[in-house]
Amino acid sequence: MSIVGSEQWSKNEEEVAFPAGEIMSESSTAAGNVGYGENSMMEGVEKYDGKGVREDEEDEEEEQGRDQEDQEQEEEEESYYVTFGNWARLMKTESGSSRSEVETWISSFCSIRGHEYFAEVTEEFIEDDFNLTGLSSLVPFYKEALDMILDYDPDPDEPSRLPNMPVIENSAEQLYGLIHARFLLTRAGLTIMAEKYDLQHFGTCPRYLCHQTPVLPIGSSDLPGNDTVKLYCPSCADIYSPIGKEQNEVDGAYFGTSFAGLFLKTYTDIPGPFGVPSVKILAASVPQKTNDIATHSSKTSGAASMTGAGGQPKSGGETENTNGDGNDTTTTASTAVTTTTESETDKWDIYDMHLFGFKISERAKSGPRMRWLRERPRDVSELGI
Amino acid sequence: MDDISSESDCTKYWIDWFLGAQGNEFFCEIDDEFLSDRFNMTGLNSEVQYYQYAMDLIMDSFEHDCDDQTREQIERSARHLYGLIHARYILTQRGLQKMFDKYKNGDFGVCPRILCNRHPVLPVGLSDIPHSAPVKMFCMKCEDVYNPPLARFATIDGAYFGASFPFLLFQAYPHLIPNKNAPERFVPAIFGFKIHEHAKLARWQKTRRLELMQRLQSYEDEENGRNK
Repeated sequence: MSIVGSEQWSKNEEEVAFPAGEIMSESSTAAGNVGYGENSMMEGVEKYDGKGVREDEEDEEEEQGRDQEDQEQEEEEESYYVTFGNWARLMKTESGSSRSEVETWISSFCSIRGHEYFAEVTEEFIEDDFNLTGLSSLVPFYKEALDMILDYDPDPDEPSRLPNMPVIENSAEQLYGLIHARFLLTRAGLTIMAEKYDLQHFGTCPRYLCHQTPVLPIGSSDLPGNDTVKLYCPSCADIYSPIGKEQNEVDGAYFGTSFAGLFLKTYTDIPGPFGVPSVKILAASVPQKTNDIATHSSKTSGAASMTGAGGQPKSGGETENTNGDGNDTTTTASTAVTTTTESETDKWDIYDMHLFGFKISERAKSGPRMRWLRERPRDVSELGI
Repeated sequence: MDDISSESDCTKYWIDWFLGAQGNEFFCEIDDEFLSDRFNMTGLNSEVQYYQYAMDLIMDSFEHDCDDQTREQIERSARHLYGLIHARYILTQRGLQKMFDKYKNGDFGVCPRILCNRHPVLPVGLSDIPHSAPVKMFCMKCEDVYNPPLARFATIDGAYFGASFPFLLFQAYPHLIPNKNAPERFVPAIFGFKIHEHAKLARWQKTRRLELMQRLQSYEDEENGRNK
């Protein structure tokens, strides 16, 4: 996208800022951001046809008055967010202007700070209407947003048809997020995410005894606007909040509730909470992938030993437990690389509370009550799987 | 840790400067009374280089002429010494009180685990021996240790807080122990269906928890019987 183009945008923004803001207020008061009906949206879009807009607005002036305050606030937030996006893109295009290739909306969206978790959805996936079934009812200005995502140039003859850019940009983000959640469940999406997982784009588990296991993004709801994105650690099978402030603002629905589970079902060589799954699966998994995981684990185990006698307070029953599980993993996965098994034994660690070197008894009021949360059966067959 | 010399800030007390430095937010102020009691420093002179000079620096009575290199080394020793004294101090009644206040203020941050609902955490060392591991965060709700979220805390030695501190705090203030009677467990799902193995593991863990509850009940009954 060229700089000239964005100048034009801002011009449009000024021109149509008022009507678009009002249309927006109408729509969101009618049905809220999520349950926005398809019909009302189509009406909203049609109203942009020249003079018709003005007339309709006059009729509904009263209704808008009520919600103006709310809307103004909303508008403010949106425009801040979006200007940041525009700015980021401008910076991108300016710095990369020497390159002949123009950056797409999708790649610029994914390179915004805080959007590190997003994969770049292929255009073929978006262009297939079947993949977008039902999204038009979830996203306001669906068509314009879709055009923006795919970098279709708006028709220069009819500039007044465009509502103001922040609104569209916001819709485009939401639409992209929802398409993204669907895309992740496809083979192509899983492959891209596997690469990102190996590069630890999603970060690592904050739990010390998980020894920097890479985590996966997960949503607690598939509908937008409910909750922000969380991180799932395959090693302790628990969810954590992202560390960065920007990542904490990303909607969880853009990743969906199913992706993490499906990912782990697809790439079974990722050590789960049960240790190395079985020899069969390990042997069957993609060789390159296993290597990656092996190098990861050797790295992490190296780091663990580097930090040194970190595990000193662990003793007694802890070691017993570790030994039991260690034997178990080595017998089940004798073919696995030694480094992998080593780090597997580490993963069974449970933190024990010690006071001056003595383990706190269960009988104490402040004694351990949550060991079960990190406990696993010594023998996986105890679970019957 | 930044190496700003306290020389430039003659008006300020060394401890105030130290506590104000970025990355030292977890430390509390040690009483002069505690610092001036030599008994509390037993054994530290063999641990810290230039012990006497470092001690003087902490007490703001450093009046020696030395070159910049030595000065810097003494400065480093003073920080190390303060940390080691701190680990001892926070186990005293007044130290616990100060750390309790900081805990109440949420100065140490919150647990990253979602199901802990932003429960406040405490700093903990994995060992009492210096230079073995950086400081970790302990959450009493899930009874687990986490890496501190910010990189600047990763350089702080865990021995400056000690491996026993959080547990002594909960012994001293038992009302701080959160209710763990209705714990939640996250189970991943695909299209709303829980993953079989994970659901099995969750059920297994639940039976472990119920066993624990039963044991606790039997301890209680035992105690009641003894009291009668």
